[in-house]
Amino acid sequence: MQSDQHLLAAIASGSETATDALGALYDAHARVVFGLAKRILVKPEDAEEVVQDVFAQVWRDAKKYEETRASVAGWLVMLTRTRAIDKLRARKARPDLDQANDPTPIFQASAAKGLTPEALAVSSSEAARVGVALNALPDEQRKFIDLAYFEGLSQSEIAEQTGTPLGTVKTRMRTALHSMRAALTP
Amino acid sequence: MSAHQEFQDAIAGYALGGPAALDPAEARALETHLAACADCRAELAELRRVASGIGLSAIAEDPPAHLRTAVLNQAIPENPAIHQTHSVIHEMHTNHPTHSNIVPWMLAAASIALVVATGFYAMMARQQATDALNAKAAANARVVSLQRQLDGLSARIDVLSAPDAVQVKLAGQPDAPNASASVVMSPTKGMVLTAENLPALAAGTIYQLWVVTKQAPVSIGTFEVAADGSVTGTMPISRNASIDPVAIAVTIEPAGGVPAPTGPKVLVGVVGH
Repeated sequence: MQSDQHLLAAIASGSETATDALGALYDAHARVVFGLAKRILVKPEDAEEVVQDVFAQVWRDAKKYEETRASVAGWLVMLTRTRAIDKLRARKARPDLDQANDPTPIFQASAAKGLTPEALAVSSSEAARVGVALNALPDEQRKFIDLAYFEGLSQSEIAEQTGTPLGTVKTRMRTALHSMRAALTP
Repeated sequence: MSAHQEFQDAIAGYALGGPAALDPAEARALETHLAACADCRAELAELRRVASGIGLSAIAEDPPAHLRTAVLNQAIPENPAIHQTHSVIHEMHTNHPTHSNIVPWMLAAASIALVVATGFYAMMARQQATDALNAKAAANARVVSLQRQLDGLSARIDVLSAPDAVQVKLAGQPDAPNASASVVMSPTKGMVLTAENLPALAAGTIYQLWVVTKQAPVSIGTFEVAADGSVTGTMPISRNASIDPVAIAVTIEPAGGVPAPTGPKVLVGVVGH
């Protein structure tokens, strides 16, 4: 099995094996990309669009990857989050239009959103440690992280929405990230 | 307080949500500082790693099978034909006989014509290739959309044609007097809900469907409605919900849904009536 870096290099080469490499990269990461996009956007068809967009961008920009220092999985996560949050903001900006264009009903199981053992198994060990640390955060800190990362709210918006002083939002967010970082270096 | 400490909070916000997480002036000030401060850049890189971990901690989920095909269909290798044609013509042009001392101006004119023609040809070819790619992308999108509809329809047929399916009529309640709905429920295949005239939801709320069993209400899922208040959808049914169902209800709940009903009932129907 080829490493992610090899696959990206094959995609960047534009050679005959490029499409196969994209398929292999998709097989390795599509579950995580789709899961994250759905976590942010809820609607499966919106999440599907994000998956398509992300892999289209990988196809176009594979050459640019070396400039970033993140792992390939980290890069994909960053691309996914950015595109999903953009879509979320666009949707908020035109809720009526969105509904008119998209009358398909969405049924979402209202299961608890906690981490499952399965999710931990599929993530890298590093991500799993962050996941555990995230779950271990005090509820107040966890909520701010969720609002910032998964809902794309700015610190000011979080302060306003939760009725918390801006300074407290900033401090809690920093404290939360720092304690999760500590979990990364066991 | 040193500059680094002053920027600690901003770096955390920036790592989580990029410049949009901060107020514009704060984001600009941080970016200016980052450009000059290697320590803070390193700090940002580390916290971004943590942020990636948060993303990776979202529950991974299998995307629908048709999506893989759609992704790979988008990935069209660069069409080498255009460049090839271009370079062949270019070669013809540069290999033109050089014993041109007889009518050099004619040759020059011919060269210019050739260059113009080459450029024009390349432009046309590129345009045609772009048109073809756009048409292919549009066709792919259409296929994905049709496949999605087909998946939905075939799930619905599965439920409607199940031998154990029962139908329940739901009537509008005081909060939604004009609403009406029908549910077809099969313990093995799932449920199909068709509702009409549901009122538009207030921001931050969502409809939630319940099967009320002898034990407790069991959540089936949350949904939104079209602009005309209608909805049709298919959803799986849990084992809990299929044991001794007494009634089916729709309530209005906070976005994201709740484990047990809290909001007003808008539709109610009794199983077996």
